[in-house]
Amino acid sequence: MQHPKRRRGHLALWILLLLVGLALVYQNLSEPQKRFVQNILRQAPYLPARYAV
Amino acid sequence: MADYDAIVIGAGTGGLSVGAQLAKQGRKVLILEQSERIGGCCSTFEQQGFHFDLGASLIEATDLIDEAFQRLGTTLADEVALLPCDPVYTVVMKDGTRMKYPTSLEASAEEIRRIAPAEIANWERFCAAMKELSDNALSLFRSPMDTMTDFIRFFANAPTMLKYSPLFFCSYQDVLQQYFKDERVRESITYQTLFIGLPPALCPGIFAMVAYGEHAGVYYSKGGMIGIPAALERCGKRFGMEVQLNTSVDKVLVRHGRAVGVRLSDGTEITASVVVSDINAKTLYLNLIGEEHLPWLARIGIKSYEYAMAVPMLYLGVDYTPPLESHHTLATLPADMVNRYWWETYEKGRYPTDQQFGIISWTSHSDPGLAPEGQHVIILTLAPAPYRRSDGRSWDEVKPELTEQIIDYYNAHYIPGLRDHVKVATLATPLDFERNLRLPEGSIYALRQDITNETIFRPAAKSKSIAGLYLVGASTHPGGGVPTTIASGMIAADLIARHE
Repeated sequence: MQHPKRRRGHLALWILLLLVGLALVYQNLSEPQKRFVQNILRQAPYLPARYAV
Repeated sequence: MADYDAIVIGAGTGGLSVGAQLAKQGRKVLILEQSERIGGCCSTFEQQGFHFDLGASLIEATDLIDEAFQRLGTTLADEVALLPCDPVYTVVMKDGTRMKYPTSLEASAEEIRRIAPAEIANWERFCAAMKELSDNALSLFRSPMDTMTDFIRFFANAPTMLKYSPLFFCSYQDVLQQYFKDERVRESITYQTLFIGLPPALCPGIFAMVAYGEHAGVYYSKGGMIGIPAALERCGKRFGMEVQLNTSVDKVLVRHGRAVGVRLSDGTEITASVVVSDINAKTLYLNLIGEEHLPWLARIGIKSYEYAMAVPMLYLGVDYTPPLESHHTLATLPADMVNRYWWETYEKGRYPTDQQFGIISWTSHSDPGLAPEGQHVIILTLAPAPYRRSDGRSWDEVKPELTEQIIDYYNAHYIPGLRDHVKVATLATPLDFERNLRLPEGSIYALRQDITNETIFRPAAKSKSIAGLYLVGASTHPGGGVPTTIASGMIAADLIARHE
């Protein structure tokens, strides 16, 4: 059984690795692809509210 | 006892479609239209003997429209004289390359062979994939898409669509790049993203099926596009549907969370068991209903929608036979240039006249009756235009000079001789579309149509905030376009039959 603090540390590491991976993928996208992603990210916070309309 | 079973606000194709279906269900239906004519963007007007289509200048996906007429006990072919447009388009590219896309896929392949022989296999691969996608996606246009359950049900009924779900998360431009290497072949089928109201980099890849779907046949309604809404109106009237023109609705009456009728601009109140809206959803919820009737989350949601693009149109009556090759000519740019235009020009409030692209509709080529003998109708669907100009000038102010500049540009690049043969020239700007058709900011597809505004994220056909309120038209699923808005009428009619 892992210590809870150690488990949290592992989780943080995995999240960090995931974010670094996503950042690398994003960096390698073409300009139009970056715009496509930016457009989705810009509007994503509104999705729950749009679902309510 | 209410005055009517259903009141429909707006006599666009969505409003007429739902009105006719509800009348067929035996309901007493009244359609209220603020303008002097039916059809909304799918309408036709006359000026000095020339008949111009206001917006839409072709129909495709006729199976969907036919289904609406079959539900009314007739067929599209019996009600509307359809003229096939073959070739679907002539394409004139930025570098001057011209090619035609005939309806036949094989003949189109021959055209591609002429431009880029190595792309033939890719064209066949593209068509095979898009055929499978179209066959499965068609039910998406016939089904309500209000809830997560609707969404899951759609994929459960069409599991093949799961294979194509990545296309929702990449752009139209990406899809074309996956299939084709030749820039000119890609350019020749790139303009279709503007039919969705977005540039190639923002348009969801799923809409690549449009470039294939056109080959099932593209048609024009003899006498003008008004033939389609007129047929829906005629069918609805057979079942007692009433249509009242020049009647503006100021308010939707809401009592105890339920829509119970409308108040007209002259103060008259008309009650109904059900209210159906065929106007922009933002106008409906924020102006006609009022924020006070909406839950807080829906209030945020409706305000978050962005309007779709506006497109100016130039209606020309000419006294010569224009040197064009087909009913529709696409004046195209490569995808990256359209993207740059969108971000660096359109979104910054600029409207240049030296970099135009769009559709040239030579409608009198298919139907000579639209113009006096020996004369012709040309309608230019211009590049997307910002509602607010960055130079501070109003659209009304720039209209005369813009008209002349556009004629000069098309005369020099696409229609030689045009300048000397114009008899009638009328420009419709975003402001005109807003004033005449009540399209806020001139938005022809109501709300943007990227994936964050589509299916379950588009305003629901059965309102989630107000009981007895239903939506049709471009604001709701499946979005803007003649077949899709007619389909929205079928969806709403089914929902009303089930719930009211």
